[in-house]
Amino acid sequence: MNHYVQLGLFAKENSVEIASRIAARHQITLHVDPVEVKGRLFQRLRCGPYRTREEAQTAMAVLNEIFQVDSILAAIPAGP
Amino acid sequence: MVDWKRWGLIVGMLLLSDNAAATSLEEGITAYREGRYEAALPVLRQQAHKGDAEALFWLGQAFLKGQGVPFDYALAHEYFLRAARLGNRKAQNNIGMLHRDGLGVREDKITAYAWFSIAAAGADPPLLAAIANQNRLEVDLQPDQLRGRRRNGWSRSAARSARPPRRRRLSPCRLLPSRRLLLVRYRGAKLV
Repeated sequence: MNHYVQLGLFAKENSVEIASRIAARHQITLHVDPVEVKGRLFQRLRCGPYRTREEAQTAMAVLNEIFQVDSILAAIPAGP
Repeated sequence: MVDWKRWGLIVGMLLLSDNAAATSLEEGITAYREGRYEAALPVLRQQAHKGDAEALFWLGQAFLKGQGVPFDYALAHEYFLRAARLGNRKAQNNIGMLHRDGLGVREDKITAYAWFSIAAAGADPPLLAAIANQNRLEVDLQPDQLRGRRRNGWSRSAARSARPPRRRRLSPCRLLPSRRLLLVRYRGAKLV
């Protein structure tokens, strides 16, 4: 299982750009995936993967401060 | 003749006192982040009393999360509201969250959206948390709900929620009969 810190879902490109700029400044790798929620398209921003939940939780506190977000933890099964 | 030495001393002292206050607030926030609530809260309270928006926000956080103080969503809302009025965007965003989840206030997604919009429309860089909350709430709200409010302006919506509840004036006729009697007796006693 891979653990990610999900920064949020953003509808506007502008928000993704701001987050990408912050990520670049702090040398953080940001994953941007398009997701559809109730027929609306969002860009999901995530950081990770982290090996353990504890590791992700520690990162989450730091990322919340850096990006000024209320992130959540997401566990995704590791690929083959 | 102007006593420059004296003036220099006064200005120096003022500058030093300003710096000391800033450091103590920073120290308070650092202590709070490190979980040293006994050290943090008195400093934050002191600064909040002076009307510092950041201190008000962190005090609100303490009551929101029950860190160093018992959980009190209503009090958290009050502190966030005071900070929000001073332009603190994190506090504006948190008020939105309280309204969205109905914590300490009546659950109202439109008001929540209004607060998220205000927090998101701030200075550069915008608060990403507020934008994310705003975007997520747009999914749950009907388009006509958003359109109507947009026309009226979000600030009015938020301001309405920020108004304190009207205090009912107690008049003798609103009091219970026994209390009314007590009031009459008291008045009688005063008159005598």
